Amino acid sequence: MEAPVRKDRPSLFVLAKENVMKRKLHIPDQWKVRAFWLESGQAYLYLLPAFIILAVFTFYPFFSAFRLSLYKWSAIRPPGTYIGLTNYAKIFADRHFWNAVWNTFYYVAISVPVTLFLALLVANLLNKPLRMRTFARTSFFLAYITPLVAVAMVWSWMYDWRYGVLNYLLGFLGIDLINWLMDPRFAMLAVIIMSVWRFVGYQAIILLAGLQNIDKMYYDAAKVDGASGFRVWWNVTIPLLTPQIFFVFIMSMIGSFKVFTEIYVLFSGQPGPLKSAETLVFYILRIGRFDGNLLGRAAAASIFLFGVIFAFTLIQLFVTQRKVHYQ
Amino acid sequence: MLLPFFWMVTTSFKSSSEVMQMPPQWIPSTWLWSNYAKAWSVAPFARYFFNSFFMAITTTIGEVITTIMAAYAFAKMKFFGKNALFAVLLATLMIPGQMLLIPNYVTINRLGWFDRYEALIIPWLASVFGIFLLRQFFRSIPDELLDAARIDGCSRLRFLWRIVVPLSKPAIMTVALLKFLGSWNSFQWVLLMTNREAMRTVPVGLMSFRSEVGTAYELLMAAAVLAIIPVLILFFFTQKQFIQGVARTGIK
Amino acid sequence: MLRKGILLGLIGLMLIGFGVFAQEPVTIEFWHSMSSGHQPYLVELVDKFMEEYPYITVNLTYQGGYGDTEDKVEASVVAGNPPTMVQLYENVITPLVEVLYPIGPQMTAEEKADILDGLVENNTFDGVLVSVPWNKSIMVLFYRSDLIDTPPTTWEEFATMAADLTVDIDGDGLIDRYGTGLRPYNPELFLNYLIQNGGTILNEDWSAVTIGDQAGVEAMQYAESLVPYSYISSGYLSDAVGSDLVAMFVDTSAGYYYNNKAAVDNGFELSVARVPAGPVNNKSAIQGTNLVVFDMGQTQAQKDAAVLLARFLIRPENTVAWSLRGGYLPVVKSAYEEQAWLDYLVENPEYIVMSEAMVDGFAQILHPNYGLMRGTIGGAFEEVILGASTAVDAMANLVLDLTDLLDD
Repeated sequence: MEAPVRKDRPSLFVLAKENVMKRKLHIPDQWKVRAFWLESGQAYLYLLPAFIILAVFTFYPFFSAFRLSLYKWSAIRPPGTYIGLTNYAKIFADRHFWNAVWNTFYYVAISVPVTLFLALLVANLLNKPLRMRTFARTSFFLAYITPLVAVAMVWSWMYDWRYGVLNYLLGFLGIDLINWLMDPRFAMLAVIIMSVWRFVGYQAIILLAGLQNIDKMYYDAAKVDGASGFRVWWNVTIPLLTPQIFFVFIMSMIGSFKVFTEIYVLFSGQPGPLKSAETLVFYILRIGRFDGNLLGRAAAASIFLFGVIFAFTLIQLFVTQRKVHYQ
Repeated sequence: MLLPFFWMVTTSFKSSSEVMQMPPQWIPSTWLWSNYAKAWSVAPFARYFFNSFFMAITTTIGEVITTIMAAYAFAKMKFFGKNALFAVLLATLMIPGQMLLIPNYVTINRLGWFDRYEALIIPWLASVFGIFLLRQFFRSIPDELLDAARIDGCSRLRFLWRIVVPLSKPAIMTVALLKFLGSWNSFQWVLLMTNREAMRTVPVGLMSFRSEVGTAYELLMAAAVLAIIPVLILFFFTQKQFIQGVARTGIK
Repeated sequence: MLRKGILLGLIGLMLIGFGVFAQEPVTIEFWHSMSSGHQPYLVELVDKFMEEYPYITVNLTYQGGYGDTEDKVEASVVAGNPPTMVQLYENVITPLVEVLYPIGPQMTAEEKADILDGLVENNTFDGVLVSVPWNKSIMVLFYRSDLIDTPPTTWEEFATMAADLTVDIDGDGLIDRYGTGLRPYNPELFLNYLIQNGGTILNEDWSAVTIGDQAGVEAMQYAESLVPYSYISSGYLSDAVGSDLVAMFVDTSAGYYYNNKAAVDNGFELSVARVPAGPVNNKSAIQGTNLVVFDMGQTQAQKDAAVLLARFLIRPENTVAWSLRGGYLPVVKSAYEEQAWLDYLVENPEYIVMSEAMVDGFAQILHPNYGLMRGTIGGAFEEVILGASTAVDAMANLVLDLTDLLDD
């Protein structure tokens, strides 16, 4: 870098800073304070665009959701009539609400661990120097980036009762025709299978990065001790992978509570046969937009959803504080 | 793993009688390119694609700008309430978007933006995740560089655009790519905030296409292929970026 | 010379006077859900209207199907700028009444008395006729006249005939043609039977759910009894008719064109009869929308113009013209005596049946949550005909679900 070139009239600010650097002057506090406020003003200008958008479409609606949930919605006089906690009472009395809660938990309870487990296996596989590694990595990742709507459409075709490829393949295993999309017992399972397929690659990539990040020295130390194979995996790899594992676990869990589009597309706008695939989000949109316009109740259910996600996130953060090993 | 894609492509070239066959035909006997032409003519896909591109490009550019500026402020400036505002940002990560669908629907209506481009673009011009990512990256740029430039008389803004941004290309690319992809794939939001056929994006258009062709799977698959082509092209050119970017999210 | 001048001057003044006092041009927005099949006829009628009232310009905007139009209307109301006129279902009108400009008070007594009785009630809110019916159709019985000589006149006959008509033609153990068809989630048959059995969905003041009473349970049990003889279809039954899968079914008269075409294209014959009679009465369900005028920012001139349009559209000759082309049924009594309609009946005798049914029909209830209620009833219906629940259980659950929707 060349020698600093001074412009004719450096600003007060620059001068001040420069002198501080040269430790020539003791800056009077007023100047420091003024500088601070000048900088603050500038910073706010930088923050303004992003924060305006966030304020209107994230902060405001967050609080608005609480407010809406206390009103009986009226389009001509938004938000409507104040009814206190009635909306909550109504949704808690609605068997379809609890059906949605159950379906959501069912989905989360199965898809999260299964995806994670498979992703771990895949990550391990991708970590080994195989020839088709890049191709394999790409093909796993492809499932994640492809537009969900297109993916779900293919799957709805593959799930077809009579002509779907899935039932055909299952036939080889001796399994009878399953009406994935019209049988209430299997509808949710169909959603889960597709979701697992979609996210394994994405999670595997993240876990792979974690794997590759593990310092070789741990493995060397283990080798010195004579450990190998499974023991190494269990005592070295997994513990050191815990940051990524928990990251993936949390993201996966939070994400799966929000599942909606998969169901909407697989079942052509319906929440599955006899609502067997209706999740919380679907329920919210159904009573709020699709079937009715009970926006107050939909907001109440949204708050419930938030509560659930919030609670789980807290629990997990708490748990990870204790169990995650950093290098 | 790739079976669904294989199935998507091969079905899109089959004739309608071939599609409904058991056992399934793995390779179409004739490659009916006409399916694509037919699918394209049944629904206004040109419009859908235009809408998707328009939405994706404007939101990406917009978000990149607002994110760079905000991240820079958090990374390099000192200001009143910095920690508080940052904590607020952190807190928003805990807010699930789905919870905001209904209130945002009300807001969009009140602004008179229902069924208009404003509803599709403006709410998506900022991203908390992006701010975090870039802030992280900006912090790694040494402060001395900034000071030296200030001495040279370089204003903060110029420093940002002339030096910081070029240095942060990988991170910015990641943010832009994720945003473009997110916008392109956006379904729920578009479904809720638009009505008219002319406003549909590709994912929503694909769904409405389905209700029009019913069980003509060969057309449906053709349309699905059309829908994923832009994403595939983008992915092909930016593979490394993408995967690295995603991988990096796990490493704090 | 002077006299001529004065005369010319007076004429001139008169012309200016007329010009000044002539109607100010006014423009109104009419949002509709008439797709390409019906749109041209609407345009024709509106053009005729604009000829008669040259100072009024009507901007027609197609907003998609009924659901989409309702969404658009709600959005515009929240934004504070609804159109001047829209077509809506009764239950959607209920929460909007406050911001609507009632059409009834602007009509003459004869015009009001001319509206079909079954339709007046459903457009009257708090004693005021707020909206007017417009594109109405009625539930009728479609039957294969090449298989059935005399259509059933009661539901008992219907059930017996359906059983008889469910046949396994080629003896392969699979049923080839069913007596009738049912659509899960589409509870029209059930609702019709309910009313004909003297039942109701809610009580008079909407404080209790009555659908679970004896009349309702019987209606659902009846539907349940039809299941073994019904083709369960997720789509319209016109496909089923075309594929020779059903012998008769209950459907809306607006589907006549499609059902008939499907039958005729495949070499079958389809006829129309009144919906079978129930234990208490022989009413059929009327469907379709009504016209409303908004009072939320519109000028008085706009509101008046819209009212004129509404009154124009339900004039006997116009509602006949609209019905002839659109497959709807006229909404005013005198229309049924119009020559054009009588001529039409000669050529299309199936419409005689429909006309008779219209006079005796019933429309949907006005409860603001009816949309969601219908969905819920459809869900119960679906459970029963898919065998997931018995009629009694389904009704019990339905009462619970609907009570939840009574609102306050």
